[in-house]
Amino acid sequence: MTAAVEADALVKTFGDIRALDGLSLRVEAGTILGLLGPNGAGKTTAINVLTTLLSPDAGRATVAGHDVVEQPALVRAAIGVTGQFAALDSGLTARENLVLFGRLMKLGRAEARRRAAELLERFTLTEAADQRTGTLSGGTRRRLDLAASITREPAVLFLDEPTTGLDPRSRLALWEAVRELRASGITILLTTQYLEEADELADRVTIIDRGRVVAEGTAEELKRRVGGAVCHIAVADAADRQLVSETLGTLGPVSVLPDGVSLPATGPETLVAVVRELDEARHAGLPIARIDDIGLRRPTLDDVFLALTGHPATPDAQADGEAAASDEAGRPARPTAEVAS
Amino acid sequence: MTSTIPAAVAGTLAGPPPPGVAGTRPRPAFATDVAVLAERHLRLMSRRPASIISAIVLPLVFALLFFTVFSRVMRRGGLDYIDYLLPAVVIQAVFFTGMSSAILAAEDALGGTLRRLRTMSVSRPAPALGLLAAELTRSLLSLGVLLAIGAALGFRFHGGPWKALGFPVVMLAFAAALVTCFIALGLAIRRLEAVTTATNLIYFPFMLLSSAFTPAAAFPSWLRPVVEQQPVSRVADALRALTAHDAALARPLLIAGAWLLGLGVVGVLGASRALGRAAA
Amino acid sequence: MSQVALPRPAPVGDTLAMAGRALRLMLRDPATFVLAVFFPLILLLLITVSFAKIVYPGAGYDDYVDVSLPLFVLMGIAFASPFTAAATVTDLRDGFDARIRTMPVSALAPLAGRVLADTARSAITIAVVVVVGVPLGFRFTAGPWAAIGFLLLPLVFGLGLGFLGLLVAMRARDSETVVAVLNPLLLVCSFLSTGMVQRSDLPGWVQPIARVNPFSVVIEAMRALAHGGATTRPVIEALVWSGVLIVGCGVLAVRGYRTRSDRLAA
Repeated sequence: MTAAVEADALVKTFGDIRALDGLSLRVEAGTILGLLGPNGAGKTTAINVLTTLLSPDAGRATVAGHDVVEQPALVRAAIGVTGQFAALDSGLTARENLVLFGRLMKLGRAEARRRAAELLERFTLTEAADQRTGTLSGGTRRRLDLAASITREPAVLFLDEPTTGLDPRSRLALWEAVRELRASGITILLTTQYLEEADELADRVTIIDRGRVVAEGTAEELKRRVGGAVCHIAVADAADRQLVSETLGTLGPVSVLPDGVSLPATGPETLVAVVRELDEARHAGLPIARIDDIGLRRPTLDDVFLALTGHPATPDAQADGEAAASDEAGRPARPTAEVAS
Repeated sequence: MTSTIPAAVAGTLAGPPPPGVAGTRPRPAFATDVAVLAERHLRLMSRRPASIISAIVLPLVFALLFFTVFSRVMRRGGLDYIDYLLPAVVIQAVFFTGMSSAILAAEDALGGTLRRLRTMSVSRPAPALGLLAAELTRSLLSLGVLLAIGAALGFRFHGGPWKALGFPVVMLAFAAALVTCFIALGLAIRRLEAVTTATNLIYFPFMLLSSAFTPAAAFPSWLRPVVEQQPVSRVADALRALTAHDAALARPLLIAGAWLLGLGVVGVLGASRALGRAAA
Repeated sequence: MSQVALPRPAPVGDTLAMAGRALRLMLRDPATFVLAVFFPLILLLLITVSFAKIVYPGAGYDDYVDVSLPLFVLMGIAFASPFTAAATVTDLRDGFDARIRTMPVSALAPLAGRVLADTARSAITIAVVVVVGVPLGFRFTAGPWAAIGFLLLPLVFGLGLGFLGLLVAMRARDSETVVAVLNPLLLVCSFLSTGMVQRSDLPGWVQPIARVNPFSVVIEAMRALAHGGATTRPVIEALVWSGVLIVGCGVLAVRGYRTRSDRLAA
């Protein structure tokens, strides 16, 4: 297989912050790579380097066979980009936006119009076609944004957090659209904060944290490393958490989290075992005051992170690049579609 | 406040509320609501360079430019232009204040602030009155700046201290009436560009087709009656009567007062209607 | 992917596409349209009826229109330019510009498109003001070639003002700041000129300012082109001023654009 995107030891610093700290990744042609990481892990910086917006301080990268630093024009001719911002003209209609991007991709006037009509159809945007983009819902705007980035079929498509801020239904619709693009042979690099999204869409997943790769593999492989399902016992009180974690120590490796305690689960039998252990402990006189909830759940990004890096992917853990760099530019670190809609 | 936080963290949220905190139901307190919301607007204004510029810098720039460009030709016509001009730039500053209040009102209606305030125990007219109070404060500030600069350029109150005290009173009355109307406009239109356009379409003809910057005699004779009678000219007449040495006072004040009363009634009716709709 | 079909930057086509977009947005934004079309007309009508008799006692309103029309043409062009600058800042901030830069689009097309659209808008302003001004008393008495020069000169000067606006846009934090910086500057230039009153009627200290003020220079040249008299010197002066603005602000704006969009991409 050939690599459509290949990055080798990319470094990018903003002041004291190393947004990319030796990042390497590879996307095989015709596949989807999910670039997964918490807010501020360096995902957007990575996209900006790969899409020729930023020059790396060190390392090299090729996209569609062209070096991003040496041959930016060739890279630009071969890619499509959908950013977090849904960068469309709110004063233009959906159709006009598509025609504009088509013309900028050198389709020619008539061809740009024909292609716009085709894309409106394909992305179920015909109803919105002649409305101003500013009046469209967040989900519709993201679909339009996606359509705008393939006015000329790209070899590689970059999707930077395509569903951040979308409601579940819009998210499903966008996932469907991404799958179709892949089926048509486009290589896709997708960043996301949601494990579920990577799980649904990506052939392979690269997890990054603080500008570095912490794990790489298929979603299945990664989940196996985390251990599949997790049994989570929600306990508000810290002393109670300690007691619970000691009690359940016999069942497996227990992690103490800010909101409770969790341990790997093999299935419903883990749940039964946990309840039995806790019940017996209580009868034996252990002063566990209050347990708020017990349940099985699929591993979340938090679990993956905890397992792979030893620290949770919670907001206070992100003293990192993107957020700080964005603040420097004076815009919110994580703009979302809800604000606009 | 801080003492309640550890209690919440300790998980007693489900228990009975601590006495004296959640136990007392907040009651609408009209004056407090208005003061709090006025403070909010003043705080927001002080952080927006554009609003400082429109309140202070722009009226000042206009005052200086009109004075510089036209004082010679005015003197040739027998007019001491700074005395004539000052009421005009004060009126202009009130217009700028009104235009910004329309934008701020529309922003509050658009951004959901009004709706949110409606769900809280805040007295109904407080959002509009808070904005009005903030704008009046800002008008006073720009009046102070304009008077100081005017004095430096030779402006004097020729009618003594009592008449001079009437000057800010008339200005504030005009500001209150105009800003109320513009708040109503902002709440009713609720589209920022359209609000800007509408307020400009009011501002230009009323300001320039008045005796504010030039005496009515300079206008073509067919236009003169309109120029003389319209409210901006009438307010300018009242302000000038208060700065002049020996002008008749009662008539211009009464006419201006009648106009402002009418304008105020329209503004209050419009604003209360629009406030109800904007928050719904 | 066939390598033959690779799209490449096309400076002319890209600029036209960006200009088309800017014009379309401009025509849809009532505020810009009002500023470009109605603002100069309102000034022309209202300043004339209120100040004509004071500035030229004894002369008619039509005489004042004849002298003051060039200023109002310039003000219409000038006060619309902050809108362009503000829109440019918005493009840089909301990611639109970054997106264009990931496409095979000529690097300067976004700026060039803005300037081109600006020029088209200036042409509309000039046409409207002249069409309304002629029945009110404005006269071309120096022949057709001079009249064409009268129509083109503010277009060239407007180009310079457009670049000035873009230069400010590259330095500004947000679009509000752009407007707040440009408007007072343009006001001072408009007023402290020979556009509304004769130079000898300005205070002594203002007269030398009004003499070198580019607005006065262009206004004098436009008057000469409309009414005759010595045209060569004022027109050359006006072209020099326009050239200085276009080249000076243009170079700095382009440089600022390159570094600024790099910084924002972070």
